[in-house]
Amino acid sequence: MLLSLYKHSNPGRFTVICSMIALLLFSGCAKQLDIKPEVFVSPEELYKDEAGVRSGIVGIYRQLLVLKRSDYVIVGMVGTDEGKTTLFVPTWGTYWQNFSAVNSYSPLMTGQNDVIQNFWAVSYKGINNANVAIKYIGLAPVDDAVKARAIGEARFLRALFYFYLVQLYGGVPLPTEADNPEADAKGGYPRSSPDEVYQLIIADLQYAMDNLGGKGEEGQDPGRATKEAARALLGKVYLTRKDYDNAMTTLQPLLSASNVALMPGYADLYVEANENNIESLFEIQFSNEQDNTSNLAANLGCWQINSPDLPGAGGHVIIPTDYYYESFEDGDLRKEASFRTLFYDKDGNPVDYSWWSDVGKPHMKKFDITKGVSVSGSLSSRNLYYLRLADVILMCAEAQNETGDVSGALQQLNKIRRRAGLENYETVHGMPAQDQLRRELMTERMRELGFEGWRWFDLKRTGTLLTEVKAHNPDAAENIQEKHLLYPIPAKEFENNTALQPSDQNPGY
Amino acid sequence: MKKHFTRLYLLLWLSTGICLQAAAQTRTLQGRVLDATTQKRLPFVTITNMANKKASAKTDADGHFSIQLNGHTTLAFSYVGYKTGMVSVSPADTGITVSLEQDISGLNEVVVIGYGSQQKKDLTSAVASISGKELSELPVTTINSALQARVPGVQITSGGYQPGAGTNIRIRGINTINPDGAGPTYVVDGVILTGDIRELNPYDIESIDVLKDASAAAIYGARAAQGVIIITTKKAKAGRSGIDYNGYYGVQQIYRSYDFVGAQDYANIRRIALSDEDPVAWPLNDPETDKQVFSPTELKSLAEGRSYNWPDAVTRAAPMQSHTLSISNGIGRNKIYLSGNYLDQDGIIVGSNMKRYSIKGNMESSVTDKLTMGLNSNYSHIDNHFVSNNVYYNAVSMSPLRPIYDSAGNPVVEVDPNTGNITVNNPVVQATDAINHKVDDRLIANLFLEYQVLSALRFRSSLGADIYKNQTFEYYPRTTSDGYLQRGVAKVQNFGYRDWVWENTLTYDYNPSEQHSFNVLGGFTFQKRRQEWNFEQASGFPTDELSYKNMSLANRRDYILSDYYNWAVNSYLGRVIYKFRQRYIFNVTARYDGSSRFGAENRYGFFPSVSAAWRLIDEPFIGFKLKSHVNDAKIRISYGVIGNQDINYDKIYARMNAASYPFNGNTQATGYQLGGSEGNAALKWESQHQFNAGFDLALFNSRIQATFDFYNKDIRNLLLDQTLAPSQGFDAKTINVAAMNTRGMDIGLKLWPVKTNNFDWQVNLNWSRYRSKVTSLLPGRDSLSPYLKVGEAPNSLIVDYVFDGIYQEGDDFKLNPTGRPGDIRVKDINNDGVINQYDRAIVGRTTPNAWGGVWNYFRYKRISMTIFASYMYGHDIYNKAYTDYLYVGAGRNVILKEGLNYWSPTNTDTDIPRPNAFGSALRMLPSGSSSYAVEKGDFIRIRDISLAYDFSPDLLSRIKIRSLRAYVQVMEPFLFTGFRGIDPEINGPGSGDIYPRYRTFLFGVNLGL
Repeated sequence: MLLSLYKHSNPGRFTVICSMIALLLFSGCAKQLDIKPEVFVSPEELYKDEAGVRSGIVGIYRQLLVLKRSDYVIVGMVGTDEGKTTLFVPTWGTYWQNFSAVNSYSPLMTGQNDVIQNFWAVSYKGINNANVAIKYIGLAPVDDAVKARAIGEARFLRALFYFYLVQLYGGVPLPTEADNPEADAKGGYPRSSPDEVYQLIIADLQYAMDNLGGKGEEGQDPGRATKEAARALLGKVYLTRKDYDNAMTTLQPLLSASNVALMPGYADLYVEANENNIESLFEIQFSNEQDNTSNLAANLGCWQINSPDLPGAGGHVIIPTDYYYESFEDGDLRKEASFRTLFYDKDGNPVDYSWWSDVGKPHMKKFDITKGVSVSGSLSSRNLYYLRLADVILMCAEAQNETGDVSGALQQLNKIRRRAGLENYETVHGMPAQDQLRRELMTERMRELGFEGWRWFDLKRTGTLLTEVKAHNPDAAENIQEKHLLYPIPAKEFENNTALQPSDQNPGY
Repeated sequence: MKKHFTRLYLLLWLSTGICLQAAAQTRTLQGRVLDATTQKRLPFVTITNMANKKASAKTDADGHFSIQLNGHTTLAFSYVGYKTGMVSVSPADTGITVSLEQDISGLNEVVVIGYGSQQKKDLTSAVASISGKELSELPVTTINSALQARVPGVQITSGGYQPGAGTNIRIRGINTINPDGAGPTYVVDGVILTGDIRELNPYDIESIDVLKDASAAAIYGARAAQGVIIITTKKAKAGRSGIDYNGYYGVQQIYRSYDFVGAQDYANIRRIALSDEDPVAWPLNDPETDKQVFSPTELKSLAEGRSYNWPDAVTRAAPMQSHTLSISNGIGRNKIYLSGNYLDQDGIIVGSNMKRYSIKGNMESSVTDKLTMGLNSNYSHIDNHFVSNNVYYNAVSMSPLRPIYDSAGNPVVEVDPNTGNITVNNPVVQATDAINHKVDDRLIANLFLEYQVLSALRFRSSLGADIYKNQTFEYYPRTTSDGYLQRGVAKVQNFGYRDWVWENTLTYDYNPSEQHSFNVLGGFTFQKRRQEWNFEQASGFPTDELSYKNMSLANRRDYILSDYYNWAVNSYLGRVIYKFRQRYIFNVTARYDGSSRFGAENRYGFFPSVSAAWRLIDEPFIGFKLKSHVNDAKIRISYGVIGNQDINYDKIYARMNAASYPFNGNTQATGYQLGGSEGNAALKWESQHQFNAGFDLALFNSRIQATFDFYNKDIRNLLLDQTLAPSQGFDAKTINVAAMNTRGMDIGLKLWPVKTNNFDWQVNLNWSRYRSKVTSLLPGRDSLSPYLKVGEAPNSLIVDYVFDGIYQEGDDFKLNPTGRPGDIRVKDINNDGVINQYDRAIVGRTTPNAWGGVWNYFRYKRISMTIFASYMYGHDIYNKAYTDYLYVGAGRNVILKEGLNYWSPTNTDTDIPRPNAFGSALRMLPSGSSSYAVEKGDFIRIRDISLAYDFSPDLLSRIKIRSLRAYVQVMEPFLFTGFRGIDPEINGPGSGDIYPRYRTFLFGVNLGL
């Protein structure tokens, strides 16, 4: 055909034709097809400068806020000897029956349980944000110091989430890289062993300890992860692993640090103006702004208190156990600071509800909303403690006691007791044996750190979960079994992650 | 002026002819050419002298001709749409009249296929066309009226009934799983458009060609999966000029709406409903009970015996009119067609209206013998006042005891003196006071250049643009239901895009001998769009006077949103059509498309297709006898791959969303967190493999024409959101994974039962059917939701509880322990003794078994009548809107007259539960409905009846008018259906629409000068 073309034309025309064909073939605007989105950033685009790095880190903190702002906050508080759900909760419908199963270990405590599934999911969102941040910050063209600190924050938070996961679920899938095509092809990672998870946690916290800023430093936002926070968490991890020597060496410097000290009064810890105080090592931040509130106060409050002028209004969802309430010695200032026993009706008159089971029981008042300061209604701006010095002191006591240093442990215990307005332990009870002190320290943790989210983990760590719950939690006593030392791995994980086999589920579920 | 010139010209010829005749044997033959049936004069008929092929002439605008001849010859008269007439002339003939017969076979009609055209008889693929002639016979007001039920395989449903609402078109069944997928691709004068075409004036359309199968559409590659509709607008015809006016005026009137009970029945049933709950506390016939049920104003109306008709207050008979003036001049080297249109349509709901102003200019200039340049453009401005759908809904739900207007004649607005809030929403106020104003401007233009490089080689380059801008202004004052809580809500939205299309093609026609002919096309196109959108909403205005005009007055900024993006498509295309011995035709098409919506990995797609046709009728072995009965027989077969690139452009990225964290309580740091979707850089288009086999047949002088097509589409790589394991940190990821299959048949039949000079009767029938089903979803998953299941068509299932009658006295209440006689009963599907979500089953399917249309055309001398009907059957409709108004209870107080047949101890043989103010009889239905609401939607709808009169050309020529036609038309005169809802043509699993249907009566005029 081309030959006939040539025959029919003269050379001039032929050139014209050829150039036209050339125009057709090579005028491709192929490079114009690479169009970057304009109204959103993808992770590759975000971590290009310091502002980007900082804004990406905020996203990881945000997952922590999401984890603790709603119903998942009960994990660690209920199903223990310190806290339980009220008897009204199961009557509110299917979702709430699942919710109360976390407390009562009822047959609804399965891989389908919403609270358990969502706790897992949000933790992994936090881990994913951290992995992405770590990957891209490493490549970002920013100052090394900024990089190190940002990665330190990301690793601290990743360790925090993994610590929750490994304590609750045992060995878990362990993504540590943002993009792993192999894992993607299978839909996820297989279960790692608990040891592997702890190795990662420890490595992350070591890095954080070395690279984060100090508490109270210039330019450091209160509420960010600090060296001290990393140290405290690392100590707790060692303690959980029963590595008492490492726990002591890690935690020791905090006892004598200049920027960390116990607050003078226990009640001062729970005053809104004192958020991010000298005793606090890491708090989960909430605020008055829309979308940054928590509903912990609502869960802990009582709906009989209906007026916005009165503190303690809430949804009547979780309450302390009788055991917790009655575990205080006379004169312990903490009892008054932790519990509310005075209730008001909707007109503001004090009323006696002691006849009405669960309604009249003492409620937690640590995280009450203060009129005019917190957001009104059930939304609260109160921060939630994650780590504070009192916790560290008690951890040291535990570590010392376990290594046989009873007197050293007693010294630490007494610091806490004196702050609570009590005499030294030996003065009141005499010198304890190791075993007695062990039990006392556990009860002291409950009295000091009640409803701050650690009780379930403390009981599990010391192997006393089953006995204590059977003895002191009426809802769970008949249901709790050996298998409940671990939570079931969520059904959604098995459905979509082919690297997991059904046999990978925790025993008994 | 022109006429005089022609006459002079003729005289001159005559005189010279006479002189010449004396001198030689050459003589002049004059005459005129007419249409055999209508006697209309045919302009520009080509006359060829068969003895001396070089000599030819054309008739003028009046059908007169004059030609120089020698001795005996045969003259051939040919004209598009008519059978060529052969007339032998002898020297004795000086003046002849030739009558040409219409060619109804359509075989020589030219059909536009992508980037070129082909004669209908040579088509190898499934292309359905509506020619200009057919379009001109049907006085269409919207383009979709022309397509609806006239093209086999094309299903059209309305997107809403307000003036200005668009339509949804589906070609050959369901093509994707995504219910919001874009419709077919339109190509208007070469500009590839997305979206609707309501801006085009139907009078400006010359022809419409629908590319249905893969072979036809493959030339459009990744835009072709939903089908392609090519629209060619009118151009000036060579050698002719004229002025045309088309106008019509009409009135729209409601003819089908719900029949609600009057005030007395309403009052009674409300009393009964409350009393049913507790006959002791609220006895009937007790003024105290009345006080509980009715508000003070209602009690007043009851006492006075008044009744108010709210639906009437918000509806009206609405006028509409359209005027089009077009000027066309094809004489000379520069051809121009200009057309302007004004359309004004009120809606039947008070306050709704659309005005459209459009202007079209198509110009073509033969710069040199080889070079042609041109510009096709269409600019339209649409001004639309919408009324919220709530208006009609609120009006029908209003108690007929509430007065609409107060004593001063103003609509009643009841306000609670304590809070200042509205207690009763008055829909009349909403219709008249709320502002919902949309302004559209759209320019579709195409600048082109064609260069005839050689006689067989043509180069064409065109630059097309589609520039669109929409502004939406909404304001809901505090007297309306949408605005009273927030004290006035204002919304302003700007949306616009600019599409540029640059196309270059080379076409080569190579005909080495009579046995072989090739048509080769090669080309390249590039298309780019920039899209911009912003939206503001604010509320809490001090007064409503300034409405949305000054947002800074608002107390609250509710939303400030924006979105900007570009996309681009880069393609190479090629096609070879090879015709062997005039009866074996082969077509190979390919397109290579790259789209910016996909990641670099799978950016490009290759879409090839092949097709072939065998013109049986042209085979030499077909005997003469057979040929006298069979005029056309052709078998076609095709197979090809086409794609769908219509995915959200952001799916390939992981998108980061806003995140904030309040360090230290007040210092709010804002940042980013990962969104829920993991990006997928390997995303690619959905691909469709379509096989088509068909035949075309014409019998008895083409008085019977049939086309039949069977198709089978395997659609793969459909996009789905795959749920991810939570440990991956993302909720979902979009992947190309699902597959579905659609197969079906399109049958079209054209009949001319009667064809005489005085009387014609023509019938067009079409019947289409398809069956779609999902063949695979995610691996190992049989269903992803109750509505998306393997083995069923996507987005077509109605899932609900199964209605099992009404509980009677003495029935077993074990499934409904707190129930009473008169309650609704539903089936316990899984026999577990409990009614919950596991007892929901598939109770209906919205896909039809078949649909189509019947078009009848009658002509008696100058009067013609068109009756056009469409039908659909086999589809189920979820008529929840209707059944919701049958039951009293749980907030539903106003009922239809049929609802008065409710269950009571004395009326037990009914399907309607007992009325109860708290809906206790409906407690078995957690979502408020059951299979009772599912009905068959079979219908036959007479869409159009029109009667037209064509004035005689002789009469008209005396007043120098070329053509005049007057017509009256009724749109949607009748609907025959058992469906109890408003419109059985609604397409979709949910149907809450109660908007009434209306008929339009109009009269119009087509005038040509």
